[in-house]
Amino acid sequence: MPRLGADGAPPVLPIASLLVGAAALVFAGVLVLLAPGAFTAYLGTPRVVALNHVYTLLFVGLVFVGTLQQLPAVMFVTRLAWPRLGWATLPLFFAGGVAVVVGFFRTFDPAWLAPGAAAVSLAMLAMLVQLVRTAAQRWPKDPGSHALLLSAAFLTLAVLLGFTLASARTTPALAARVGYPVQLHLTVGLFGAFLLGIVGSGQKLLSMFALSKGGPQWRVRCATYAVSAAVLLEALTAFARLRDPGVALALLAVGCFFQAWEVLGILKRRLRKKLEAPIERYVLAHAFLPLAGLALLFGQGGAAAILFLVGFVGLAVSGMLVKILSFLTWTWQFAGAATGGVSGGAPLLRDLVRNELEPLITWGLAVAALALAGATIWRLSVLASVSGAATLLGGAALLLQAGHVVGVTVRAKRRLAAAAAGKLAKAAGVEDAHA
Amino acid sequence: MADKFLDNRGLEPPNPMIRTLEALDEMAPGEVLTIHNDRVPVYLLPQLADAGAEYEVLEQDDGSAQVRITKGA
Repeated sequence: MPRLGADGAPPVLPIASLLVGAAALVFAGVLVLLAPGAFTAYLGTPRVVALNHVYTLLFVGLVFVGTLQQLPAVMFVTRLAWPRLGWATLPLFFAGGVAVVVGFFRTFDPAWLAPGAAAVSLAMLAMLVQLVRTAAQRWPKDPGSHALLLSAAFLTLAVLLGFTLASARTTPALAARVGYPVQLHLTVGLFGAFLLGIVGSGQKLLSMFALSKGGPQWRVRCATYAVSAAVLLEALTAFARLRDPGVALALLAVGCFFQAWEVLGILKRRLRKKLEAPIERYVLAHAFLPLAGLALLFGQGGAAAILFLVGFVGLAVSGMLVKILSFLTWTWQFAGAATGGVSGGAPLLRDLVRNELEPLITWGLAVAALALAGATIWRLSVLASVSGAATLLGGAALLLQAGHVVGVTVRAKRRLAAAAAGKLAKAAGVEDAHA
Repeated sequence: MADKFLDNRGLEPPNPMIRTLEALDEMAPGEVLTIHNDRVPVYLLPQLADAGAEYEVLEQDDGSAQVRITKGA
């Protein structure tokens, strides 16, 4: 018999993904601390590219694909197709991601990069098919869901482009044929996948957590169109040798602008005046969008990418990670019962989070982004060290928070089960005595 | 007083949740609200506990779900 309301994958899959994602952030902090000087010179070195993929694949990527195991069922109001597929795709994605990181560390070693990129690509393709199959059961009409679908398609494209780049390193014929589309890989990954993922899922989740009534969603649609058009233009530039004087960049800026505007709109309509700390972090993340734009205007492309990835994406994803994990773990343990509520003994959502950890996560990641961007602009390795320490602090606080959420909820369920078993045994003892 | 009823079917998330919590907010303790949603509203259930309410989920044959919510003190 199916578990009550079990429309997504087994909850242990997304929960494990989110926990491993948080652990990857700690690892990223350690890596920056070990070689701060790497950020004061050319940013295309094996170490920096490896670290970049720890962040994009093992932190943000794992949180993204883990969320795809539960959120689409809620957003599309249907059941996830092939809910057990995640048992294969999530470990494959993780193992492939680790191999890619090792490959970059070993100075772009194709023996690691090629199988790693192939594994991540295969996992993402399977997850994309799963997502489209889920949506096809009840095709969503709202722009937020469309943005989420597109973001998954772009993440798949980003890893396929990564696979192409890895293959081009070992096969000159392929490199001669397709070139070396690094810029396209970056645009598709950072904006197509991550920005649109935040646009799509954030629009629903922020509305839900801030209790904001549905309003006009044209800004979500505009952000989606602008980013998609930019990706198309970048693709034409990479493969059809089209000359772009900067239109793609302008479209990406427009996409970011509409996302920030949509967040403001949702906040204006909200019923819950006091936002919880993880949601405040998600909102604060958007302050990094104009900062990244400013860095770009001053010709600091590396700093702009860091402010976007570590500042905007890092803060937004870590904010939603805590909230999603709270809901996921609670529903995993307690929503299976047909009855429940305040007297049932289940912990309250607000009691799952350790409030003292939240500022450490928020300010740790914010300082990490600013210091690392500063390190690349002023070529100061001390700033990179500050960034590494701040990432380590923020990541450790996030991992502790995630572990606390899961631990508190699971222990509460065990206590309730033990108490119920004790009551049953007592009742059986009374019946035996009567007999 | 008669129980209140909200038909949330066909509404786009998160409107069913917001509609339900808004209705609950306007009710007196002990009053009962029954909602009918397209699916079991798993993300609403912890919010109900946080709002001090009790609930009973009744899954329907067509995949939809009714939830009987009693507002707490």
